Amino acid sequence: MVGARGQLVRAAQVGLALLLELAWLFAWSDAAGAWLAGGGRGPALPLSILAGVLMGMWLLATALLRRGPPLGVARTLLTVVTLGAMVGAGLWAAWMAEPRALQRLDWALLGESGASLRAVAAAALALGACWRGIALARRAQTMERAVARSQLGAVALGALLLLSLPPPLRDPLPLGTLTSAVLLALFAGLISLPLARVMELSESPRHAGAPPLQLTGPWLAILGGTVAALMLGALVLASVLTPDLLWHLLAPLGPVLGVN
Amino acid sequence: MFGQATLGVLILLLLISLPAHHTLLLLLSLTLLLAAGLSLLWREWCLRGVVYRRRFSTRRAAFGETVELELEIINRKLLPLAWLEIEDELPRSLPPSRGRVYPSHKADRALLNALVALRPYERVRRRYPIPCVTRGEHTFGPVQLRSGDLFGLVIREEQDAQTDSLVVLPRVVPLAELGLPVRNPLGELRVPSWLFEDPTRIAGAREYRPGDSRRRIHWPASVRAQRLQAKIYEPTLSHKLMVALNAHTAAAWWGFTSDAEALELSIMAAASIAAWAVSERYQVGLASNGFVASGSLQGVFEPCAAGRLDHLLETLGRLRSFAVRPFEAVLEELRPRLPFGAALVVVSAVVTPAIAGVLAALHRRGHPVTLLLVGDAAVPPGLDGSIVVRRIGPAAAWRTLPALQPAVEVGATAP
Repeated sequence: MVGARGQLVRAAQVGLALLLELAWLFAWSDAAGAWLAGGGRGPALPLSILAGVLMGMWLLATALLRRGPPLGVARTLLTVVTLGAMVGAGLWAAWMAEPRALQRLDWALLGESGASLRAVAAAALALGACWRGIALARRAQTMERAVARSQLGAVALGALLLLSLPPPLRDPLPLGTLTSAVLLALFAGLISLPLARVMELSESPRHAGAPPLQLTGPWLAILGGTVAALMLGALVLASVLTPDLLWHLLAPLGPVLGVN
Repeated sequence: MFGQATLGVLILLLLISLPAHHTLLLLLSLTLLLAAGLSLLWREWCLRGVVYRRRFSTRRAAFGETVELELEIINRKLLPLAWLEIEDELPRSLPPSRGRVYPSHKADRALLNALVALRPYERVRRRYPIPCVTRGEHTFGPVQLRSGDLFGLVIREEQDAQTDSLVVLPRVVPLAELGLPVRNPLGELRVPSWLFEDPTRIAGAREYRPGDSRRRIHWPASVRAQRLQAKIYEPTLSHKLMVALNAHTAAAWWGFTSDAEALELSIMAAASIAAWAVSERYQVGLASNGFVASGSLQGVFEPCAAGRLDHLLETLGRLRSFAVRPFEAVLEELRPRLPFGAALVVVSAVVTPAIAGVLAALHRRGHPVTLLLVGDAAVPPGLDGSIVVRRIGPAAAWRTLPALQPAVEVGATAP
């Protein structure tokens, strides 16, 4: 696919990838903030900072890839910026949690107030954002990378939700943010996969010079509609499905399977 | 993405989330499980109802003509296809002038790739101009269709074995362009005696004799001569011409031809002679030891008939590059089947003593025989002085006719 339409699809791919990464990173940030502070203090790293670090790293890595400086220089620069982002995020989190401890450099107070843990969580999230930003900067948005990205998002969210299974850990979680993050990540992941496949096929040398694959409005509507319907169906099922209902539905299969 | 392990983990998550009443975990696992189910269903259904057709603007094309190949792809179902990859097999010698063609692992085959997206019940047509620069019966297909689910996670591949053929006729040129003389290019082909007359061909006029039909009076000649003149018709028996083509270019007849260029020049010469003869109102026939797909293993035999040039050219167009019998056997078989007085033009790149012997025998039976030698094969001494032998070549120059040398007359005149 060439021309303006191709550029548009490529931009959409990057946008969806950023959205997916941001969704699971922010879900973790929010959960970490809730767990570490016992609720009420917000995410470990706010959405704006997380998005800034992610996009900043993506832009920086993209620029470095395009300019093509020596690999060593690029690696050093990216490492320095990542470390800077981690330190900055940690300091910011500590400052927001307990500014007095930071002003006085009172380590005991930092530890007691839980600010140190928030700082560590913020630094870890900044590291994650930097890593994903750099990974996203690779120019070709291939199917393989899109699948890997979606898998990572699903695993990250799944792990977070599994961790929150015991009620003491689940109760402080901000459900609204988490639900939005899960829905956004799923939507972005499922939409980005077909786009990646179509772009990969269109840009394959086998089809060079052939009429390009048309990503028309109706096609995009079918794609968006199918994903939306799928998620809506899952939402409805998730809201009505209970163990009792499931056993009731599976009961007719009992005699067939030899289970009473 | 949705391998067995992943599906197992998702089902486990679903089973964990249900008793724990964890709606979000349930939502995540359910969405991914539904996506996996949809993906598998899509994979099963994606290629059902997909119709692939090839159409040529003509099934029989003249050499050098450009034929339009139209590929039609129809999605006869409600399920849309985000992408459909088509890999159609075609002869390497007939690449389309538009579109990308890749070599196939099969000998002499190429692959034409196309990529389309199909909405429900949508029909897509792609057109490819094909310059017909290689004679033969060319097979297009089978085609490999590849598509997948909406998410592009799984791929399904199917082969449509349906094939279509396009016959490219041999090149036909005026005999002069083959380097043959303009007057009597093939020597004297008509027998001197006649048994029957052809009233459509007037050879001249003579004095009117009592008993002559009034229809025979040649009025323009009578006016010029100031006395009654009668028409002289040409004998009909001299208007039968059998073109015999040796499909083998080496002395041994078995196996594939050793010189494809010589065979092409031979076929071009045979086609050009047939076209010339039809224009001269000969009834033309064709005999060859070449093989035509779905034809006889005894070679090709088309009896002399009027106005069948298209059929003869198609037969020559479909001729493969290997011989099924020794050429002398075909000529021997031809002997009793050749109408009395019919002329024989033999086109061959090789003349063995056996072939020369049969030609001499045919000549002795009263058939005017002309041998058109293609390339630089030696002429057996038995032919000298008995039949007309002309040589055309070099064989490699058949595509660029001006490079052909003027035909060399090897033998003596016909009786």
